[in-house]
Amino acid sequence: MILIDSLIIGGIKFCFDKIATAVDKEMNDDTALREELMAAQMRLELGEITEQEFREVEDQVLAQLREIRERQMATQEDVEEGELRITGAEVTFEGDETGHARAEDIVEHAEDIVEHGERRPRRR
Amino acid sequence: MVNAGRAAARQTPPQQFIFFGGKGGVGKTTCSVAAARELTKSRQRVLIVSTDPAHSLGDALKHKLSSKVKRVAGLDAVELDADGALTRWIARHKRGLETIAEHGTYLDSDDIAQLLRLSLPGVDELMGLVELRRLASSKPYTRVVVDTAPTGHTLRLLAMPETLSRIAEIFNDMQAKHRFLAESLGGTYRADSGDAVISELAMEGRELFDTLRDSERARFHWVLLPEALPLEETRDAVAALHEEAIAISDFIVNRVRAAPRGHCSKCSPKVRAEAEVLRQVRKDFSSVRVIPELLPAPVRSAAPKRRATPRHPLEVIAPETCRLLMFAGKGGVGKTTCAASAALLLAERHKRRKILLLSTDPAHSLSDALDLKLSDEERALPGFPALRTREVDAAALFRARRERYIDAIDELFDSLQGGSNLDATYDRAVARDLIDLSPPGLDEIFGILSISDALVPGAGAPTADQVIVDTAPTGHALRLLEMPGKALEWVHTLLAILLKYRKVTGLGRLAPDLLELARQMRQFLDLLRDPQQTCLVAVTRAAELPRLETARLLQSVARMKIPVSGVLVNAVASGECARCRRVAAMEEREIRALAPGHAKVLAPEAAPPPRGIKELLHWGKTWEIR
Repeated sequence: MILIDSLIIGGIKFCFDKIATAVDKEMNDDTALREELMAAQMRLELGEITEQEFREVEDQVLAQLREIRERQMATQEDVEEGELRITGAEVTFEGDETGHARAEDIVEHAEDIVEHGERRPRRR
Repeated sequence: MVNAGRAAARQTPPQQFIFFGGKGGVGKTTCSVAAARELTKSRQRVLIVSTDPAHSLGDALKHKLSSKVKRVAGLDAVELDADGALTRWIARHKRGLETIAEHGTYLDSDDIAQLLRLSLPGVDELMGLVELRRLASSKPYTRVVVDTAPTGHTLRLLAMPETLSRIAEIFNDMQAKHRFLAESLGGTYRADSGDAVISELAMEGRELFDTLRDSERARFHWVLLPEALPLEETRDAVAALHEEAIAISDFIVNRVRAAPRGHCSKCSPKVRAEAEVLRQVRKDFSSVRVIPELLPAPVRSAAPKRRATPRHPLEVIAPETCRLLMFAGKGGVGKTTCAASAALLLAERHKRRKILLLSTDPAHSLSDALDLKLSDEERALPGFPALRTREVDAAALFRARRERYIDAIDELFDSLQGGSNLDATYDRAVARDLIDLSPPGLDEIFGILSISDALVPGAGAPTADQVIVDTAPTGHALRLLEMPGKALEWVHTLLAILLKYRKVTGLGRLAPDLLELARQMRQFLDLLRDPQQTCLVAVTRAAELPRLETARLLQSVARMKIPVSGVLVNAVASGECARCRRVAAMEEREIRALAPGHAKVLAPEAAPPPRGIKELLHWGKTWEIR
């Protein structure tokens, strides 16, 4: 009986843990987003999507990266109250004519923004 | 009856391959044809095969040849088609290859079919010997005369049996996992079509390896001209073959000039220089045969039209906007000397221009022409700080990147095979074997990467304003020029496969690398087809065989949409003796027939050929526009 209880409770706990991890990953992990951007770039290279469609994905991914960063900063602020809060960042890049070179730069710079929030911060 | 058959079989001499090797343009084809004709007189059944992708066997036999054996004047002759041979080989082993790929990777049959359709770099070397053996056994030939590609690529060809054995090992490792699983689950393992391909490859590799080293079954003749540069290349090649335990049976010194009657400003010093080279050849090698120069039949020819022009030919073949200047042509026409001269002249005119002079021929002769010690490291030329030069060493570049490749391939296999613990040991073996095998076509891959890195680098500014390339002889120069397109096809196929399995495997580090390579190759292809930026100069001689090969080179280059800025006719005779006058008349006729519609530049014969910076500069200033 105890065995079954612990199995059921353990099982339920395992499931909840998995769900929590998945939600956390979806909301706070930028790895998946960066892969998304890289995949879009690969599709563009293969001619599966147009430049326009690629731009849309790029904008979407950037917006989501910004959101993640905001959430992370909010969590941080809860812990360290009274500190200056940066909620947004605007970055511009000079890309080549084809625009292909940009996405990688964005991924690289976005990483900095998410991790340090220190690139051209702007108070909203 | 049976006994009579046995006796006949005993009497039939074993099949023997007779290889003619040497630097380009030394007369390998002519010697091969002469030897084959001689053999038919002694009742031998002879097949003559050309393995050089830029075939000139048909020109020498004055018959149009193809990849199908054709009977020409008592001989069977064929020009080997490596691409076709690979396609046929893959078609014949399709089931086995698919089985191996399915057992060894996570790829599905669509992916595998897509990969098998891609063309391979280095296919001429990879398929050369296999196809040669197939052709040789198609009829009971007693002698197979082989007219090979110029030195560098012939050395690669002769190293191919080991590559075949290595490929067999890799396939074997890929099958090993499947065998292990079958044995653990079912208890017994029965060999399948994959194993059949593996044992056939291993056997083919072993037999070819043995054949090449058996003096009864394979003989090597080395052809050279009585000049200093070919002699150096011959020494290098003999040393390389010796390391492979392949022995050269004799050396043929071709086109030895007769002493002129009276004095001739060209012939007299040339005859003296040749005598010195001959003395050294006899000292260095045993079994030397000398063939005198054959003079053309006397022809009447109008006096050459001279046109006074204030412009130096360089302004025509390398205009101001030119960023990539390539010297291509048949072996031995003097590509290296011309490329080195042009680089020095350009560097002298544009002191600040960053120029890179690059040799992509695996049998480099730039060091010898400049009389300097060069290597894969760029170095500036004395007196020309902005002119740097380098001989691409593909094998060394590959070794330097080995670790990085092991990681990348490990990662690829890990992801494609799921990376469970069971797989890991086998994957690692496959990845290591793949890297230990220096793939064929390395010379072309690293050649093109070295050029594009200097002109359209992935990151940062270009390291050179202008790159001047001394290419390998025609066949392999064309393979080099095909490379960006081929690389792009490969990269696209791999990208598509990575995308397909992305949900399972993730993209890993390979994806950004591949994207970067695709971008670089696309930019480079754009540059390669831009007549403002790219100038190809076809170097040739004023003689029939080089003229015919030049016409084919120009056709191929036009098909690839690569702009040609002119044709440079090298070593135009200018002596005053009877021999020189006769040769000059023949040459004048050839120059008129050569490459209509293209700008022609004539470079006079120098005896001995210019060597070292000072002589090259001086010689370059004697070129003129026709």
